[in-house]
Amino acid sequence: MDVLTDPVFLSRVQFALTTAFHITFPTLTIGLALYLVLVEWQWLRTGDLVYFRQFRFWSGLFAVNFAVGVVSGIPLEFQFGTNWGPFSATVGNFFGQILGFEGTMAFMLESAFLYIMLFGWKRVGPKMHFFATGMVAFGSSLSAFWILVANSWMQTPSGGHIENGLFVVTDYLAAVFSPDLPLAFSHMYLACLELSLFVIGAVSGANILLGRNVPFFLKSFKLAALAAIVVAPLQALVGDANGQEIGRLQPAKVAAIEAHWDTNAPGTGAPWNMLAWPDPAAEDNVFQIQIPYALSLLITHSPTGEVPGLKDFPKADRPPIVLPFYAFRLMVGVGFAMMAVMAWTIWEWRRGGLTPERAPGRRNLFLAWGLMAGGAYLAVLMGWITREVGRQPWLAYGLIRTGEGHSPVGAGAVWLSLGGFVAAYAVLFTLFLHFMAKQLRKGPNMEELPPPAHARG
Amino acid sequence: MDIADVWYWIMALLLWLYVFTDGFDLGVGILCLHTGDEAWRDRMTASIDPVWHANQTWLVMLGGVLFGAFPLVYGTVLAALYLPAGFLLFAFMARGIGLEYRAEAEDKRPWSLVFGWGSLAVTLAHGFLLGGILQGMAFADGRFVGGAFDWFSPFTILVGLTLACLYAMFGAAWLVLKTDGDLQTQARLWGIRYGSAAVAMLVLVIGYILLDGRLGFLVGRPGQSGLSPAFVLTIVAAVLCAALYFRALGKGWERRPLLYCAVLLALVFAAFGGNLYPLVVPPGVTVAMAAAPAPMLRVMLAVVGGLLPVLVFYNAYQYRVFSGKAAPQDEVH
Ligand code: HDD
Ligand code: HEM
Ligand code: HEM
Repeated sequence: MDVLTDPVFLSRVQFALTTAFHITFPTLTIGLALYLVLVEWQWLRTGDLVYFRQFRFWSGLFAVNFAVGVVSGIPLEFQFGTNWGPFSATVGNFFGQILGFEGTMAFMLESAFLYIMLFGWKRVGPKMHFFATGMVAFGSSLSAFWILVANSWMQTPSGGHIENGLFVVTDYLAAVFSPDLPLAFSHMYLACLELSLFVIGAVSGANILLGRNVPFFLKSFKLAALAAIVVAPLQALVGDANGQEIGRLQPAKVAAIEAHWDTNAPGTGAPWNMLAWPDPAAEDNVFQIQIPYALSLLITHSPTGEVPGLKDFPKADRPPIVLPFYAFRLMVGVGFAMMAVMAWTIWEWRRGGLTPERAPGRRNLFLAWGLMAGGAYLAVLMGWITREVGRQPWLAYGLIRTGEGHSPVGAGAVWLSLGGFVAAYAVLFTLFLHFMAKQLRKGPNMEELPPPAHARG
Repeated sequence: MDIADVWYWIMALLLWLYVFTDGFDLGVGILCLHTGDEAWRDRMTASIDPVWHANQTWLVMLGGVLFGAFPLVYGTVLAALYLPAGFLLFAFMARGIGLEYRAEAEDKRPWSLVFGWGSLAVTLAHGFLLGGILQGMAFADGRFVGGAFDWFSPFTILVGLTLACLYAMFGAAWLVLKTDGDLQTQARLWGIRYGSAAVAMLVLVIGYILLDGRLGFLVGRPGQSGLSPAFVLTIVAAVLCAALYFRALGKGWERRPLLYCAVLLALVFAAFGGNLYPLVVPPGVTVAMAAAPAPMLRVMLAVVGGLLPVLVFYNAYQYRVFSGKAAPQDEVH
C-alpha cells in the first residue's frame, strides 16, 4: 500500500486525527462557559444558593475539559508549520495573521481569567468574579470565531490572489469575511450550544434517574431543555442554508456529499439519494434509493433546479465520495433525532412528567437524552469530515492543492509523530474519562456556601 | 526603521516575555524533581497554578504572530525542526497534564514526576529549537533541503542544558518570592546552585561558539574573528546583573532575585540576538526576505500592537489578585 509511505497522506491523517480529538473539548467548554455566565448571573440577581452550586458543579466539568482542550490545541497550531510549511509560507501573511489574532484576542483572555473564575472566589468581589466568567466565555467564543475565519477562508478563499508563490491580499475585509463564514460560524456555534445543552441534559438526566439531588438536576435539565427547544430546529434550518450555500460555492462537494453523478437535464429534477453505495471507478452508484426531485429542492429550492453532477468535474478535481456521503447522513440523522427528542420532552413536560416526584420514572426519555449527547459529538465530527474531506483535493479551495502545500518531511518522521499522537491521545483520553467520572460521581456539594461578602475582594 | 524591523523587535519582546514567564514555572517543575516531599511540591505547584497557563499562552501567541509576520520562517523552520518541535508538543502535554491532574489525584507522586520530567523535557526542546535556529540550516530557494536530524549537535544540547540551568534559576527566584520558611531557605540554595551553573554554562556556550568558527558571527562583527565590543559590553552587564542576583539572595531579599533574573535574560537575549539581526535564520534568511508584505504587517501592528498593553495589563492584574505567599488551591472556604 503506497499510501502508507506517502507523507502527504500521513500528514492529512494526522491533521484529521488531532483536530477531531481537539474539537471534542472546546465544543463543550464554549457552551458550558455560557451556561456558567447564565447561572452566575442568576445567582447575583436572586441570591438563590442553588445557582451558586450549579456554578460550582458545572465549572468542575468545565475545568477538566478545558485542560484537555488546551493541550490538544497547541499541536494544531504548530502543525501548519511542521507539516504544511509551503502552505504556511504562501498564505501565512493572511492565514497566520488570523491565528495570531486568535491567540492575542481570545486565548490570552481565556487563560488570564480562567483561574480567577475557578479559584478566585475569596480574592475578588462578586462583580469582578462575574466579569472574569464573562471574559472566559467571551474568549472561548471569540476563538471559535477566528478559527472559523481561518477555516472558511480555506473553503472559499477570497480577498486576494497568488502572485509569485505568495498570497497577496487586495481586499482585507473580503478575506476575513469570506463567503462561507457567516453560515459556517453560525452552524458551528449552534453545534457547540446544542452539544453542551445535550450534555448538561444527559448528565442531569442520569442523576435524576439515580435519584441523586433530583431538584438540583431538574433545574439544570429544564434550563438545558428550554434552550434546546430553540436551538435544535434552528440548527437544522441553518444546516439547510449551509447546504444551499455550499451548492453555490463548492458544487463538487455537494455532488460528492450526495453521490450525484449526472447533471439533471433542463426541465427535470435531480433525485436525492437517501442511501447509496458510490463506486468512483465506475462513476456510478452500485445501488441507490432515490427520492425524485428532492435534491433540486434541497439545493436550489426549486423542483427542477440544476445541480451539477460529479462527471462535470475533471477526475483530478473530485473529492472522495464515500466518506462525505455517509458522514453527512449521520449528521443530519442526528439532527432530526434531536428534534424528535425535543418534541418528546415538551410533551412529557406539559403532561407534568418533570416534577421531582415523577421525573425519576421517565427512564426512556432520559436515556434518549444520553444517546443524543453521544450523538452530538458524532454529529460534530461527521459534519467536519463532510466539510474537510469534501474540500479535497484542495487545501485552499481552487487556490492550492493539498499535495502542493506539504512540507519536505519524510514518511518516517510523520509516522513517528503520528504514532506519538495516537499513543499520547489514548493516554490523555483515558485520563480524561477517569477524571470526568470522578467529578460526576462526586456530584454537587449541597452544603457549600459562598465566601461571606466581607471576605471577598 | 522599516515595519518588518518593528516586527522583528516585537517578536523579540514576545519571546522574552514567554521565556521569562514560562521559564520560571518550568523551572519550578525542574526543581520539583529535587525534592520527594509532596507537601513541598504542593506549595511549589500552588505558586504557579494561577499563572502557568497564561504564561504558556505567550508561546501560542508568539507562534501565531510569527506565522503571520514571518510566514517563510514559520513554514520552513518548523519543518526543518520537525522532530524537536514534535518533542516539544509531547513534552507540553506531559507537563500540563501532570500539573492539572496532580491537583485532582489522590496519589500525587506519579503526577509530580510527570510534571517535573515534562518540564525538563519542554526546556530541552526549547534548547533544541533555539540552538537549531541559531546554528543555521540548509536552505535553497526558500525551502529546507537538509535532513531530519540536522538540528542534533553538541551546540543544541549545550543550549538545552543552559536553558535548564537558567529556568531552574528563575524558578528558584520565583519560589523565594512566593514561599516562606524552610522551603524558601531551600529555594535560596537552589537559586545559588543553579545561578552558578547557569553562568558556567553561558561561558561554555561562548567558548564553544569561539571554537566553532561557523557560529562566530553570533558574538563577533561580520567577517571578523574575536568578540565584538557590543557583545563584550552586554556580557559584562550580564555578569554584573548575575552578581546582584547572588547578593540579593544572600541578603534574603524576596523580590529582587526575580527582577534580576528578568534583566539577566534580557541581557543574554541582547548579547546574542543583537548580533543576529538582520538575520532571522542563519545563514541566509533575513528580516526583509522573510517578512509578510508591508500592508499586512501594518494591519497586524494596529491590532496586536494595540492589544499588547491590554494583555500585559490584565496579566499583571491576575498576578496581583494571586499575589502573596502561595497557599494550596484557594477553595471557596
Ligand atoms: C450538533 C451538531 C450538528 C447537527 C445536529 C447538524 N450539524 Fe451540520 N455541521 C456541524 C454540526 C451539526 C458542524 C460540525 O459544526 C459543521 C462542520 C463545519 C461547520 O461549520 O459545521 C457542520 C457542517 C454542515 C454542512 C457544511 C459542510 C461544508 O461546509 O462543507 C452542512 C451542509 C450541514 N452541516 C448541514 C446540516 C443539516 C442539513 C443538518 C440537519 C439537521 C445538520 N447539519 C445538523
Ligand atoms: C475541529 C474540527 C475539524 C475536524 C474534525 C477536521 C477534520 C479534518 C479532516 C478529516 C481532514 C483530512 C481531509 C482529507 O485529507 O481528506 C482535515 C484536514 C485539514 N484540516 Fe481540518 N478539521 C477540523 C477543523 C479545521 C480547522 C478549523 C482548520 C483550519 C483553521 C483545519 C485545517 C485543516 C488542514 C490544514 C488540513 C490538512 C490538509 C488537507 O487535508 O486538506 N481543520 N481536517
Ligand atoms: C472549529 C474548530 C475549533 C474550535 C471551535 C476551537 C476552539 C477552541 C477553544 C474554545 C479553545 C480554548 C480551550 C478550551 O476551551 O478547551 C481552543 C484551544 C486551542 N485551539 Fe482550538 N478550536 C478549533 C480548532 C482549532 C484548530 C484547527 C487549531 C489550529 C490552529 C486550534 C488551535 C488551538 C490552540 C493553539 C489552543 C490552545 C490555546 C491556549 O493555550 O489557550 N484550534 N480551541
